[in-house]
Amino acid sequence: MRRCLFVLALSLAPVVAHAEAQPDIETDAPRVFSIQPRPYRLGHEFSLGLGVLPLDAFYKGAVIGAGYTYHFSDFWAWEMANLNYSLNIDTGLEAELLDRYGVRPVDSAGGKITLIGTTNLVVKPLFGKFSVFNLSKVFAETYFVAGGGPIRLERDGRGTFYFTADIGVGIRFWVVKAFSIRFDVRDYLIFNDALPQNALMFMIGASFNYWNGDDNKAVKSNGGAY
Amino acid sequence: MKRFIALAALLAFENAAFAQDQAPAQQAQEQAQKQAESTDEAQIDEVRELELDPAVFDNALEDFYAKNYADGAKGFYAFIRTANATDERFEWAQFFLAECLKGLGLYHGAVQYYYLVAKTRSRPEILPMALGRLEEISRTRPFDENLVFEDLLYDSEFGFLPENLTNWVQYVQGYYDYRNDFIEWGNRHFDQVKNDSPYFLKALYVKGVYALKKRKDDEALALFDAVVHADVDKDGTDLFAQDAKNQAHLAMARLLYDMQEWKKALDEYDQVKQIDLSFNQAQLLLEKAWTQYHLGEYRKAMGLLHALRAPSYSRFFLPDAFTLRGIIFKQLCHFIPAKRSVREFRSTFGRPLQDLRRRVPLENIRVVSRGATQDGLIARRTELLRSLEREGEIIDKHDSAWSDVELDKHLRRLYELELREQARLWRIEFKTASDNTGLELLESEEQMNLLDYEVGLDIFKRLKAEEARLGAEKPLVIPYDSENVYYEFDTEFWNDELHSYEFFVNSRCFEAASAGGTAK
Repeated sequence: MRRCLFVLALSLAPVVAHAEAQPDIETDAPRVFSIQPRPYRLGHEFSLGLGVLPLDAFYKGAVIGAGYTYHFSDFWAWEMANLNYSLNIDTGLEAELLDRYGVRPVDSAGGKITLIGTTNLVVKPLFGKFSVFNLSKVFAETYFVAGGGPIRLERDGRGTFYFTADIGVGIRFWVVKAFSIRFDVRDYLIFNDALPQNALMFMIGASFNYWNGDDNKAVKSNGGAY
Repeated sequence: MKRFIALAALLAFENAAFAQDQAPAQQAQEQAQKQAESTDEAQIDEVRELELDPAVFDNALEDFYAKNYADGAKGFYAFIRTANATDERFEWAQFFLAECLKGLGLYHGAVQYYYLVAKTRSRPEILPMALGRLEEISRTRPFDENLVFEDLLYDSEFGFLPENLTNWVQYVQGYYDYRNDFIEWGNRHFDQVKNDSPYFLKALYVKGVYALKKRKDDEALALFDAVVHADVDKDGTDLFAQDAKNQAHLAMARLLYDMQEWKKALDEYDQVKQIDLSFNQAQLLLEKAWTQYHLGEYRKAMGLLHALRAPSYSRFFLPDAFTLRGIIFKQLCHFIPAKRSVREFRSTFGRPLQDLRRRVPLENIRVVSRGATQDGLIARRTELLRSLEREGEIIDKHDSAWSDVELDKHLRRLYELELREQARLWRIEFKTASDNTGLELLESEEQMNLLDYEVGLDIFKRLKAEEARLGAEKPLVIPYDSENVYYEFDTEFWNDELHSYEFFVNSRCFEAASAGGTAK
């Protein structure tokens, strides 16, 4: 059996060498890339935002947020702190239930979100440009966040901190190198009970960036990716 | 002397044109003269005043300010036809007629009247405005360069002018002095151009070109360098200044290329900003591709050649691009694509080459005619001819409104004469330009034939079995996290990407076969 394998190996050897020497013309077709230095790069990012917590039927939260993100690279970043304060507006549903039907919610662990503080890992896989009315272009970046932190729920004037895990997606449009507009959607899973509570937040923000690196060295220094 | 003769002829033409237009008014004037019994001078003035409706000028002015340019032009022309040339509003009427024509898009007509106002100079307060308009048109539109530069500006004294106009006038006068080899006079004019003006850059550039012509390469390089480092338009917002800097970068790059300083040449080419999608920009891509080729950066050279396939550039006559593409494919041992480049050349230029051999007149060979008119003075003249034709169509739109004062007839005659003159000059320039283009095409064909032959030789090159292994070239890697962005080309050309394309293609050469000859 071994001999058979040896003979087979011997007979195949030149064929393998020949295959190495002949590149596959069909799959070896040239690809064309436009390789450009990133026109906008992030370093230390400070953001301010206004948002809304729309899901809860008993109240709607008007959110003011602030954050700081350190960008390790053009792909990875750490949103070290993201703090949001929610000014809650009662929808009147609780009072209506009480008035009309004489009932009120009894979920002892529930409550209105007043404070959210999270820290998140950020990945930024999508970077691109949009043509605006075929007249100018605007650069954008889409990012995904995942992380967690404390969240404060308030009920009957008493607040309690719980742990929340959050995931989110955002898109950023650059205005100038130091300033961009960002839109965020984040979902918070609040571990305040055996069955975690869910909260969704939409936010629009202004982002201020401090970057002191060399913007233009990219393409020139490494000459592409060969 | 010739210039004075030309000027006299032009003035004679202007007078003749006006004489024809003023014929009905003159007939009336003659009749009035016969009736008059007192002195001749008194009679003429009296007759003029009788014919001239005093409201014509004011109504036309109202139309002008209401942006009703067609009616405004009609009114001002009616005024010019009937008013005495000594009327204090006469030059104003000419100026506003020019403004109305410009507002209607009849730039040549406007240039003619701005020219008249600036040439007669009988009202000094209008002169800066008329010259200002001419300066603006000279930067932005095709126009009759002989009329404005040679007949109006060169050899003229305008007295005090605002600084920007002084710069322009002095630059043009210096430029024509340099053209005529009056270097000392030229320098005297250039010295009066303020060094914060774009015309200062142009003046330095002219000096650089002159030094180049005199084979003083170092002096030329220094002058071009002074252009690009001048404190004019540092923020890059003035396209006119940017164009001057681009020209200087290009001139330096070409000079360094000739000196075989490839790296320095490429650095200069890279400094040229893309301010439009003109033939000059296409040519820049090709020249950069050749420089990259000499630096051994085949993939970058191929990327630049790829950009030439963009719709804005593909119409230009650049047969060299096919040759270079074929050579690079051959160097990378991609023999089928190299052969395809040769075939593409033949399918693109086969017919014009056949026509050349059949001695078809060059103006009837579309590729040659397009190639001959894409650059230089003839390109500007071609654009002027096109512009005159387009403007002629605008006159047709207003002919019924203008027929009672015969403004349409007057403008048509003006445009026809200009078209005839420009076409005559175009034919003279076309002869040389088309001969050169035809020759370039034939030379390119020769290069392609040679390349075809060499590729054939390389395909069937014998190789020893022990040498039959591919070169140790690293595989191409696209990093997911990079300070560069990689946009894969997907049939759509973006203007901002044209200079940054790269071909991701591996060499297929066996090590022993990698050193091959080139066709060029």
